[in-house]
Amino acid sequence: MLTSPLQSYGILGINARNLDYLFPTNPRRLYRSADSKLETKKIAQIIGVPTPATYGVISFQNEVKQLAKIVQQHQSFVVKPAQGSGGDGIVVIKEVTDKGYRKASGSVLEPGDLHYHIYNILSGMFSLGGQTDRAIIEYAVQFDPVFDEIAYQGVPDVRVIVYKGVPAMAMLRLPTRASDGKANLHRGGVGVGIDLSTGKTLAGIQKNRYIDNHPETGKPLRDRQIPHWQSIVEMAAKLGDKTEFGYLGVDIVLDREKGPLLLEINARPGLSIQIANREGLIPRLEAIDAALPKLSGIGDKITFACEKFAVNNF
Amino acid sequence: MNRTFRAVLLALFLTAIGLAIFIHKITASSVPVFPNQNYNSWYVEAKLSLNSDDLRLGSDDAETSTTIKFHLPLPSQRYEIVKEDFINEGFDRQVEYTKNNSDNRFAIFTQQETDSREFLFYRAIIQRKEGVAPGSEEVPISGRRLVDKQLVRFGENTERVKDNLNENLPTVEINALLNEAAKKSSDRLSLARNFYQLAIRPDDIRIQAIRRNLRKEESTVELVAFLLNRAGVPARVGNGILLRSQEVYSTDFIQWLEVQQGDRWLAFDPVNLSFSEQNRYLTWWYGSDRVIQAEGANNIALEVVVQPNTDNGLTRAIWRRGRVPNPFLEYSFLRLPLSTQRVFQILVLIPIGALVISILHQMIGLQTFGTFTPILISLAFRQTGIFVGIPLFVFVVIIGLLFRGYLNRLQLLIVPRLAAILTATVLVIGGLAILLESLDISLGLSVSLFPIVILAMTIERAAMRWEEAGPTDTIIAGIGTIVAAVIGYFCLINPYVEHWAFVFPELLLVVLALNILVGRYNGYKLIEYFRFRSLQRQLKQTEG
Repeated sequence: MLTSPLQSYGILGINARNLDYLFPTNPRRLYRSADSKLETKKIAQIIGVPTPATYGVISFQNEVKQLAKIVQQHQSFVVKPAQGSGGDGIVVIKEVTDKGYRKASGSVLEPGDLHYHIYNILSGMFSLGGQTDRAIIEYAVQFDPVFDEIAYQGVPDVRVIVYKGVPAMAMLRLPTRASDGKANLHRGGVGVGIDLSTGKTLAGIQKNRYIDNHPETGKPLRDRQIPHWQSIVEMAAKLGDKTEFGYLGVDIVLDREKGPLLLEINARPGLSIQIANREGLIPRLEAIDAALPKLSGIGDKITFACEKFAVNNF
Repeated sequence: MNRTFRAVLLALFLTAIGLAIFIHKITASSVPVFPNQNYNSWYVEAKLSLNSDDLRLGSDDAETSTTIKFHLPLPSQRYEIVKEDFINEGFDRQVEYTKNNSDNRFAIFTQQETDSREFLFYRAIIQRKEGVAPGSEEVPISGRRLVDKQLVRFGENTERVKDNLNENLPTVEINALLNEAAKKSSDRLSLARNFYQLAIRPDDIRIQAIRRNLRKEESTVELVAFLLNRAGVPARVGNGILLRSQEVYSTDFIQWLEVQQGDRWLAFDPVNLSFSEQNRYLTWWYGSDRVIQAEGANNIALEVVVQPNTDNGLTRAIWRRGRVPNPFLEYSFLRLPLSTQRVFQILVLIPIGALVISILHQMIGLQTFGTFTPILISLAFRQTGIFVGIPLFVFVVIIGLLFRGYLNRLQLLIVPRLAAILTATVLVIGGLAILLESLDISLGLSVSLFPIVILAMTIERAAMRWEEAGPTDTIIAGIGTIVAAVIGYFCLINPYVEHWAFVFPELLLVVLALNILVGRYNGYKLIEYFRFRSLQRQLKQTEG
């Protein structure tokens, strides 16, 4: 039988991801809790993983006018659809002024504009499949200044793939001008591979091509230490271990004061992480499958991942 | 592995059943494996739809019961009627013959129950006799305007025409025409030819007067037959249909002129003005009366469907009930009425299109609007043709997206906005159809509502995509949709695919099996080779 070059490098394709990993390990009924950020928050609370504080939830059109009341205690906040995907429909308000709401980019939204945006969220414009949705008003993350050099206007986050409770691969996702401030890779965001054992960054990619410097700031992407790395890995392992998800993408942001916060979990994580890490996922996933019977508890799993998946060719 | 193994097992099982039935069918009976390109037999189906409202009104006083007299096709030297069949639930049926100068056959249906079915069916298998050459079945385009068609009209007051014949005959005009034609003519046939040439003059006052008076405005043939009879020449009007190599829904009755010469009747060919034995049409009846005469019902629609026989007499065998030993043939699509068969002919193609889509999605990685929208577009292309279909599709989708862009500025809520886009789409397509029609460009849009609805749906999908994923993705998916639709189109218009899917629906089990296999395909998609190209290069470098 002909083996393709991709296969010999152990690169995971989308069909194999679905058939060999997602379908057998992620029960269908769980997808709801990954797709809805409110459900995710509930789960995170139960297992003790910190998330951004929720200020309020708007479920019905007649509640939209209460927005001012919800945010009156806070200078900055984020409006996001509960079932959004890929960062769509998220509006970050840096400051509430007399004229209206000032966005991260500096432009000012009049209250009517922001209300219209929430109406759109409720009618399902950003939700998967277009069902009606709810809008979450929550704490706006104050990003750790460590990323200032290599992030362009937006939300850098760390994506960790967790397989059966064992962190398998990680990547730092950076927004660019092309990605419109979103850290989404297929929008043109930058992905940077991370050495699981140390939390140091590796090569960067944009649109499936390798880059060394951030396209806007021009600063090198390589060899940066991600703060709180140990707790990030622990959070990811905990989510993988304590939920029924077998194959999971965990998105974590770093707050200046509160440290790592869980942003969302993804039951169908993308495959570009392999390009950023210059390694196929299949050998790692198979190593986890083989070692799993010997690993008991989260501590064991993290140690295994840090030893096994360390990058030592630098 | 276990699941894949079970899927393969199921696929093999389904394939085995499908192929077993298929092989059994082709070995145990004469079902042709390939579509038959040389037609020598046709199915003809006439469907009479009665307006029930009128029936009820008429039946208030119990005296009037509905009686319908319907002409039946006649065997000729050229065609024989192999098998006939009626469906006349709630009606009494009698087949009668007339014996004057022509041997017409007709069925008389008399209504039995007031709440009877509103449809009457007549169907027949017509076969070209052995040893008769295919002949000139099609009329050349240049001569088509000379061919008279009998309009299907009912409830005409034939009494009044007879009165006119007896009393208000425009004798002066008739005699003038007789004299003019007789001067130039040497025999019967040239007289008929001269009459015909006079009769097609649109501006001759005499002709106009006679046509008006005799209520023969539409038919030149009827007028000429009348004039010939006045001149003492035996002539009659033939009515029939053309049996073509393509299927025709709701065909027209065509009229021609026959003149007796010796003991033979010769048909006049208005295109090259010659006489020969009638060898173009299936003769249905002779005379200038209508195909249906009805009492008690004044609103009857008639549809005559003609379909060339592609199955070498399989249908004939099925219709001879009791003689089909094979249950797979006994219960097949070919048993259904032709108008129902037509629906299934399209329906059985949909699984094949769906298989194409699932291969394009899972193995190639093509992005499309909606999952199965491209097949519907392929089916729409079947009706518009691909060269009209693609530009039309692109144009209408672009218009729809521009409109969407404008509506976006008005900040409308999402569902009303989509409804507005759909409304605009229907208006745009409607306007386009009217505009092109007035420019005398036929788009084939008139064929049905189907393509319009599909286009409107596609715009909705495209607009949703634009909202969700942005313009680049929308354009990529748009191109993907067209590519998938074109690939689907070429699969669906293939005569072999059409024939196999319809005559051997058990092969759809094989299609099902293939789908199950594709559903367990865990290999790479073609696009992933491009996606992971730079990674592959990197890995090769570190390796070597």
